[in-house]
Formats: sequence, C-alpha cells, structure tokens
Amino acid sequence: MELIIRLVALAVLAALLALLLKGKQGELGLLVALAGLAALFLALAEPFGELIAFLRTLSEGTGLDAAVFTPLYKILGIALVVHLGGQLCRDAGESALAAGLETAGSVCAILAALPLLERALSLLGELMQG
Amino acid sequence: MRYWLCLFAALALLCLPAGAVELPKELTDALPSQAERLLEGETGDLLGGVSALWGNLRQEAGKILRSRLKTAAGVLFTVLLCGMLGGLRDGNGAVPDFVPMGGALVIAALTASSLKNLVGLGWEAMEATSVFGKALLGALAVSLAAGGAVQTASLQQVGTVLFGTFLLELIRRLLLPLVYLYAATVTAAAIAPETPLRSLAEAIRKAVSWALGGSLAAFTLYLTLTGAVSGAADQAAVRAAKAVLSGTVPVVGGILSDAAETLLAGAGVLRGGIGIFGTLGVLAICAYPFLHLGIQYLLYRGAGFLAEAAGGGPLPKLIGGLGSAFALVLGMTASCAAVIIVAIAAAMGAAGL
Repeated sequence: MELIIRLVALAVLAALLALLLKGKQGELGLLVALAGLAALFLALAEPFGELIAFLRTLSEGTGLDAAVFTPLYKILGIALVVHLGGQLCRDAGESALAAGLETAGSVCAILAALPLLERALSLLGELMQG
Repeated sequence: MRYWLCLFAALALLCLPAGAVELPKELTDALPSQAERLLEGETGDLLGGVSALWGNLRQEAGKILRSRLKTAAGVLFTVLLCGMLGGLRDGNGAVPDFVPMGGALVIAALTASSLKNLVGLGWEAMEATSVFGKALLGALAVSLAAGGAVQTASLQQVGTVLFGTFLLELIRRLLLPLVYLYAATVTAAAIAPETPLRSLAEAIRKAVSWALGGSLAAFTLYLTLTGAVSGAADQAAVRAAKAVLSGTVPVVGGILSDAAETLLAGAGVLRGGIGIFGTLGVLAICAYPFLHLGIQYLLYRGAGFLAEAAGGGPLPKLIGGLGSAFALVLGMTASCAAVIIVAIAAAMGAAGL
C-alpha cells in the first residue's frame, strides 16, 4: 500500500513538472516524463522480481517444460516496452514514430515466438505423418 | 428281464461325463490381456463384468486425472500471463496483437503432444476392437447359424466386417488427418482472429461429426433391414424343416423335432454367452482410451470456461476448440465400439427361432 502511494506521488510530481516545462521548453518536459518513468520502474524492480519468482514457481508447479514459457515471457516484455515507448512518442507528438515502434514490436515478438512456431510445426508434421 | 437290462443301461449312461457350453478358444484368445485384467475373469456375467470394470477404472481415474491436469494447468497459466497484460491498452482499447499470438502458440505447443499421445491411444483401441470384433463376429455367426438363422448370420457377419473395415479406413485416411487439420486451423484462427479461419475450423468439425454419425446410422439401418428380411426367411425355413421332420419320419418324428428344438435353444444359450463376452470385451478394450480422452476433454472445457471468465479474447475459444479435437477422437473410438455392440445386439435380437 505504501509503495503504490509513493509511486502515485512520484508520477503526479513528474507529470506536473513536465506540464510546467512543456509550455516553455517542450523537450525538457519530455525528459522529465522519461525520468519519472525510469524512477517508477526502479521503484518497481523489487516487487517485479517477486512477481517473476512467483510466476516461475507457478510454471514449475505445472510440471511442464519451462522452456515452453520462455518465448511468452519475452513477448510479454516486448509488449510492455513497446506500449510505454509508443506512449512516450505520442506524448512527444511523434505518432508516426509510435506506429513504427509498434510495428517493430510485432516483428520482434514474432521473432521471439519462432521457437514456438517451429515446435508447433514440427509436431504438426509428426502428427500428419501418423 | 428286459426291464432290468434297460434300467442298468440307463444307469451306466448316467456315469458318462457331460460337457457344458463353452466359449470358442479363438474368441477368448482374441481378447487383449489388458482388457482381460480389467474384467478380472468376470466374462460370463454382464453385471459382474461391468462392476469389475467400473471398480478398476475408478482406481485409475485419479492417476489419469493428475497426469492430465498438468497440461490444463499449463494452459491456464498461459491465459493468466496473457491476461496480466490486460492493463495495456492501445488507442483502440486492445492488447497488442502479438500477445494473444504468443499465448496461442504456447497453448498449441502444450496441447500437441497430448493430442498425439491420445490419438495414438484411441487408434490402438480402434484396431484392437476391430481384431477382437472379427473373431467375435465369426463365433456369433456360427452360433446364429446353429440356431437356424443361416441367412441372418451370413448377411450380418459379412455386412459388419465390411462396414468395420470401411470405418477404420475412413478414420485412418480421412477423419484423423481432419482432426489434426482442425486443431491447426483453430490455432491459426486464434493467431489471426480477423480471418475466416474460425468458420473453416467449425466446418471441419461438423464434417467429421456428420461422417461418423451418418456412417453409424447407415450401418444400423442395414442391420435392421437385413434382420427383418432374413429373419423372416430363416423362421419360415426352420418351421418348414420341423414340419418335414415330424411328418416324414414315422413314430419318432415328433421326438426328433423336439430334440432339434432343444439343440436350437442350446445354440441360443451359446449365442447369449458370446454376446455377453463380446460386449464386456469391447467395453474393456475401450475403457482406458475413453477415460483418458474424456478427462482431457472435460479439463479443456473447464479451462476454456475459466479463461472466458478471466478475460475473453481468442484464447478461450482456442482452448474450447482443442477440447473439441479430443472429443472427436473420443467419438471415433466410440463409433468403432458401437459397430460391434450394435452387431451383437442385432444377433441377440435374431431370436424367435
């Protein structure tokens, strides 16, 4: 509870500063927003680590090969990073850049999913051969 | 003196060994050993056999459920991970497209090996049912013919063997590849939901269901019609033979006719024993595949329901679709078993002779 209150306070402070600087020096406003974002994620590092450990325990609990889930973790990470990066680009007024980033994110996600795709195709091939 | 000699001869005859009706050895040897173990030797009594089968299956159900639960848990875990990103919304309010794609690929990879194992299990049961069925149908035909239903025996045996072979080939060459295609199409539909692949998958599923249902309906109709036509002919032939016997042979014609009727009744008892053994045998052969496939299907339906409650999207439909693939294989195994059981029922019903 205490953590979220600190994070909300940090985010609101960064937003206010960015707003103040936007009118005079837009680029500084964007930098402040970026710094606020970085501070948020640094503060989230430990809870995020606990969440990852919990998810790892859950995946081990299923008894299945953990390598099946690794591409999915990468895809989720790509989705998160692309989402934040895209929003920053839109805040800077660069929608085209945001769209390009999202396209790049899709390509990277497909690349990350290639091992899964290859596994699914080889299993399908085995099934069709009977 | 003559009286005492006849009495002494009758008493001597009573000391001879008497044999009871036994199942043919070829038939008992055709039953797989695993099925025999499940029945625990209770092959002469239908209720006893079913009870032994049920008891053994109940013991195995827990182990099978625990082993099948792993895949369902992995599927639900994937849905959970993809759902955790539900907070990410782009301008249109949707999660980035590649997240459900990744989830769909993981679910497909988790399910593919289960599907391969269970299809293999189902196919082994179908082949074992076919081999056992051929031995069973031969024994049933002999007992039917011994009971006077000669035409019924030949028509039913030939028709059932032909249809059983046809169904097995249909499943091997067409329906099983269609099941794999269905699973692949359902996965592709989850990756690209805006394409018409979902309708194609549904069409494939319906085609397989109709092929199975239509085949069984045609076979049942064939047995009903041949039973009606040939049964009447056989009854007329037996009545005519009894009339000729009792009318032509002097003095003992009536006794011989009654003795022949007793023999026909004996053949009917044997037919009943073969029918019970055959029914129990088919149930025992298909028991494990039914249990594995049924549990997997129910687990996937449950996982699909939970995934729908957790957040919707294309993944719950994918899970439901993959569950349907298991149901299709279950249906194919059940169809092969149903062919033999319907043939047994038709043979039992060819009575009144």
